[in-house]
Amino acid sequence: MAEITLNPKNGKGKIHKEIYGHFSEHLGRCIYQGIFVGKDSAIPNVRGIRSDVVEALKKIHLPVLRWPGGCFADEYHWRDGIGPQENRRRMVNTNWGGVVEDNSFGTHEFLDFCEQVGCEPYFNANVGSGTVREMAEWVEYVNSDGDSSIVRERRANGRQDAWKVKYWGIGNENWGCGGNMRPEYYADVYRRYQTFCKTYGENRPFRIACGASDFTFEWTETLMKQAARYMDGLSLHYYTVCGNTWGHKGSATDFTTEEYYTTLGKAARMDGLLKGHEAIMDRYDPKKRISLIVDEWGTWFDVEPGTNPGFLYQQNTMRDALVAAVTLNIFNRHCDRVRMANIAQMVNVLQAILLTEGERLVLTPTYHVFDLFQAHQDAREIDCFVTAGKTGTEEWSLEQISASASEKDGVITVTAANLDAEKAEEVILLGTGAAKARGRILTGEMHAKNDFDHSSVQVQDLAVEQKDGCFKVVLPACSVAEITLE
Amino acid sequence: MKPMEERKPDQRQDHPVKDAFNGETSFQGIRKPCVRCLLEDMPSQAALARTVRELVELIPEEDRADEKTVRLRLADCRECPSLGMGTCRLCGCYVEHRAAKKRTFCPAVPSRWKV
Repeated sequence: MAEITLNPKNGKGKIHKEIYGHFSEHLGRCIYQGIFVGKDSAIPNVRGIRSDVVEALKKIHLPVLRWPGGCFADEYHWRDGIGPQENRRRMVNTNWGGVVEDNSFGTHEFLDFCEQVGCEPYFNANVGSGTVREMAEWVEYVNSDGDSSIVRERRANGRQDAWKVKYWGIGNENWGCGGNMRPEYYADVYRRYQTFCKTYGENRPFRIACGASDFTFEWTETLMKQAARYMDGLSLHYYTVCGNTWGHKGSATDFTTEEYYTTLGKAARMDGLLKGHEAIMDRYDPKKRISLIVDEWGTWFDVEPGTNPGFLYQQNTMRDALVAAVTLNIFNRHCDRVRMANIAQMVNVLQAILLTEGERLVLTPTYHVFDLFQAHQDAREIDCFVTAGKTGTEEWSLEQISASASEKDGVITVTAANLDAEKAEEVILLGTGAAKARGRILTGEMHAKNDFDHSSVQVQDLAVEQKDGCFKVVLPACSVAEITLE
Repeated sequence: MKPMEERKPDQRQDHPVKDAFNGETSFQGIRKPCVRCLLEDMPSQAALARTVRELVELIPEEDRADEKTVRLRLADCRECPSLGMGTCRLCGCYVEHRAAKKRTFCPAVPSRWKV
């Protein structure tokens, strides 16, 4: 039996809804086919944007979406994607299976998509192969309402009022695909670029500096030392890779129990990773003004057999659902510093919440986790102590129960996951002060998945028993639950 | 710990096919895009075509489409504007593999496959 003890009086503050954000890149079929099919498509759409995808995202209250990359961002020139469709620049990427990038999905289309969904846009500007002027004009194009040539150009392209884009990433992975820079050099480049990421009216940009990959603490140290006062956020990327090398990452669907635990163990390293980067940030920014933005995270497996490796298309099982639950619980617990996160990627690429083929749409187990966790958005995090046994392997010993909790409008939400692949666990909830409770659960054998023929992995009601002033639930093996107390 | 630049595969500079197929082949060297071709039509993709054929052979007999069906499907794929270098950009599959499965479908709307 495990116990989850709550102390609703204490907590780390607000869980910013942006923690439940997503990432979309011009890669594989994330944008084209996943989001955008063109207005002449037989697939139901509004101005070329898939209606089924918009509806699915509205249901989980997608808060923020990062675009256009990723590595693509540091090759993206925004002017290629504005103006009449027939005049937009076309290119064929032979490294990506001959995919035609016709720039039919550009700034206007992305912001239309965000408006249809009701989410905040997060632009990632090109530092690696762009210019300061190019970035500065992009900011002006989307955020200014002054009577400048740039704004007149936007209006001629059909948009009268500024969109007021708040979040701006200044470069992406500039230690690698974004220019192979040293942290000392990038820090200065960042200072220069952010100078021209200007405020128009009341639209002050939230400036995010390119941060580290996984455990590269020296990058965070240098950026904080040299550029802290110029940034609102610092990013961090961390992928959960089951295999030991990038060449052999392991199958997304065909894995052993040992690999299941290895994957969850590597996902759980996010906690230590955050603590390490936060400790450095705390030295330079003890008041926690600067946000840590985990704008790429999730599982990365070998692609589905028979698919082009450049598309990074992988299926999604209950193992992915557990990775998502463990990670999101960790983010909630670090909400005083982590104020945005973006799972990679939203549709058809890596740990996708949605898969599409033609007019068909699949909601993956990871999608359902974002559904179960959505009550945490903009809620107040509260202390949540877990007393539970261990599970896993000798190499990857794991807490069997992962949990976090929040309160909003007098309603407490606890999200809990049972990581054990075979053993159910009874969980007692203490200190809730609630009179009634209800629950929802996602569970299945660790390989369970949804595909274009069957969608057996679905959220179900969870029985919550009230006994002796506390509440009790039974979490089946490999499950993720939401318990609502009021 | 690996040097920083080696930690994540650079999706544009690395050759994903090389990664996935044990270095047998890569897209390197292809300068001119070849559209509406199957892998078997492209000499530089011969090793990849072999790998895809091996993947087809791994499909259990009872799940594999008959030869005539596969031939008809691939004939339709050859005429499709969404075929590029052996890949269907509507689903990301190598069409020679997708067409070989019995329970599958053409992702185009409406379907281009007649069988």
